Amino acid sequence: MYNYTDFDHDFVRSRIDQFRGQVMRRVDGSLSEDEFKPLRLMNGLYLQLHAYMLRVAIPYGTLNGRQMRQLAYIADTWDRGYGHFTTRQNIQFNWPKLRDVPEILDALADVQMHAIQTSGNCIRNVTADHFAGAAADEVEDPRPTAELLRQWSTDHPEFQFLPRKFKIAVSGAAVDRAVVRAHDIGLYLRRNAVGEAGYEVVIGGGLGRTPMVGKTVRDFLPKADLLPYLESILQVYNLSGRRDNKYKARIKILVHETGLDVLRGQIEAGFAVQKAAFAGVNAAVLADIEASFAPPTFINTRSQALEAALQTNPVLQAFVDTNVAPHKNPAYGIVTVSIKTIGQTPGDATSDQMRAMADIAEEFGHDELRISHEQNVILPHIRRSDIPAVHAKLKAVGLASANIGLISDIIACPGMDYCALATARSIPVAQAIAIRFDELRLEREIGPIKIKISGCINACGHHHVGHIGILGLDRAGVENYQITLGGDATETMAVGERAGPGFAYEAVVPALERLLDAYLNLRDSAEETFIEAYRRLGVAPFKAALYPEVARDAA
Amino acid sequence: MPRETLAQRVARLNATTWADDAKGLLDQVLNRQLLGKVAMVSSFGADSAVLLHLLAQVNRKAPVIFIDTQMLFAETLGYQRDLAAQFGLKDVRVVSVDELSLRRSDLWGNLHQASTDACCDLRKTQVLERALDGFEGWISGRKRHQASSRAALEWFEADPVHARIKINPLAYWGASDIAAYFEVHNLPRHPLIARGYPSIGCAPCTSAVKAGEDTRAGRWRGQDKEECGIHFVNGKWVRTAA
Repeated sequence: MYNYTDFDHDFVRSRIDQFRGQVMRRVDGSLSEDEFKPLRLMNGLYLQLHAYMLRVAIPYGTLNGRQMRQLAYIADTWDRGYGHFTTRQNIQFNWPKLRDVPEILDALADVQMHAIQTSGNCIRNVTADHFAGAAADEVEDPRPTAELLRQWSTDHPEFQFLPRKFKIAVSGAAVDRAVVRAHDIGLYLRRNAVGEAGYEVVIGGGLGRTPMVGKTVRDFLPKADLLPYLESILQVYNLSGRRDNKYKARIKILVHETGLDVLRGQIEAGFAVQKAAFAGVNAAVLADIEASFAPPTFINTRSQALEAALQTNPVLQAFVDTNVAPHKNPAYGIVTVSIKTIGQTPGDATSDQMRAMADIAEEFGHDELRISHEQNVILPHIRRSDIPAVHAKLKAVGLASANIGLISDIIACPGMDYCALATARSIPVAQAIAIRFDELRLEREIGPIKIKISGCINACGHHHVGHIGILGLDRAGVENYQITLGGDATETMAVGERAGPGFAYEAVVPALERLLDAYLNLRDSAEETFIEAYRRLGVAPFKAALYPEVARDAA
Repeated sequence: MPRETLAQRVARLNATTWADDAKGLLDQVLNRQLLGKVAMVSSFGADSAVLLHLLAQVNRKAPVIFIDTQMLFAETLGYQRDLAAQFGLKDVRVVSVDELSLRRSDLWGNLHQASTDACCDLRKTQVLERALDGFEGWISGRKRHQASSRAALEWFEADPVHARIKINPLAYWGASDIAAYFEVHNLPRHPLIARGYPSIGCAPCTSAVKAGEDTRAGRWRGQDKEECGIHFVNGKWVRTAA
């Protein structure tokens, strides 16, 4: 795992000391909220509906047991005993007191963590495939690239006042688990014809009020050219991105309005200049970083422990079916810990649960944990023969839900329960859906499906790219939920199609029941998933199920 | 007089060595310096208890080399510890590939998926070669009945590549002899035998065997491979198509 250098360490501490002074002046009234706002946002501190919210970066979603335990300590000491994992590999604390925040930041710095650039119009926490360094289908570990970008973008003097926030994601595998095409810049590690690793560069993706699928601006960029090329993209955006309208300020609008080919020309021209200036720096730094991400020493000894346990334990079998993915090392598996216990808030983990996961990672998982954009926690390196023991320990803290990829594995933003921007609640909708389909015992029958819920148009819950997306809006003071169908968050990204008029809060779950009943009747076999059936049949039969009265009238 | 060649020496040993049985042969080799320094190599697999039990009666201080390929079943490692303790073996040497070679050649532990031969070579053959440095011969538990490639096995056998002699005290034992020995001496069984594994190697390349199949059918199943590369047949490598 990457360790902070002295430079990183001193930098983080000096930022905290700066912020401590700013907080003191805010508390004693010498700074107004308007003056304080840009300062706190630089340090990931938001003012929400009921309280401040601190957003802590988990760079490329990777953390170790000690860091996870420290998050638990912070939750117990300065918050209400839990934290919320977000869709961008951050953790949010919802109830900190302003005067405690510098202390929280100090506690984070003790374990090489921080909240820098988790907010504001700068380059945000760089995200990566949560199976990085473990996935069987990987070209290369994307995390060294993400760490390089973290170092490059942190306090980059030229890019502190971009037209709008800027998000970068990196995937090392052909299968996209990082929603790469919904980012301002997305990078896929690829190999060229002679086997050298490099990047396919995607720009202009984004969700929010104007969802756009990112477009490939460069098919293959040699690894050593990454920083000069990205520097050039950011310069073009910084100069040409719109600053007149907040809602048209993201790079996706620039790509859309200027056209990809014109932008590509500008980027390539800037790249030629930058490349000369960057000579050699990137390759040397990246090589050092790559060395610090060397995989653990695996223990390949196997046993029949898992096979024997599976024969007598159907609960474990269900867990392995949904929550364990293939690892590069055949003696290992990637275990996803579901933070989607039915009836609970998606992405919320208690301090006890965090500590339990830290213990498991240290005892069985080479001390590695990952946070996924789907708001789950990953144990990336678990020996298959240890899975029964890991499962038992997860069960003891209520984290053994076998529902990864199923209907109750819902992405949901905090919604109107916490967020100042939200126009509707999303957590209770997610809970109601999970509870209902569990009552119906239909979860496994329905199989793989992605439901994503956002409580406002900003789409933190990724509803555009859910197989079923739910968007909560405010219609004259009443919550109203629009349903979109057919979205896709992977390498074949698609924005879902709006099915029709919205539903009242109480009508959402019945609507989904009709929709999924229709799917179960329409699929050509149990193997055909919801999204496959949707692609085969189109939107019409599903619309008819959602709006039976319209279908009846038309008949 | 020209020095005796390895083949001549093996032929002489096979023609002149007189022993009542496997135990007698072990006694000559381990206690009477029939051919200098000798170690036993044991996999602590399905049949291994027999030879180890014989060795313990003859000389429990004799060196026993166990290659932990780090791909074994945990059950094998447990069985190894149990047998060594029960028989009072004094010099069991557990040898493994060094970490640097491992990180160079098989970082992800999946080399066996690309090439079982390369994996056996890295984790067994090279390791054994280093472990046998300084020994003139080694004792193996192979038997004629195990595989077609072992049908002509003798007590003594040339290992020409390393100029060593291999001693096969159980060469003429049949499956029933082994079973009877386990029975008479009440030896503990490898726990995987009960799960259908009559021959046990590394976990990824060993599968259970159905009734009626050859006992070694579960080794490298589906591949045209019978031997891991440690053993030579008639002085030649047994190699499979790459």
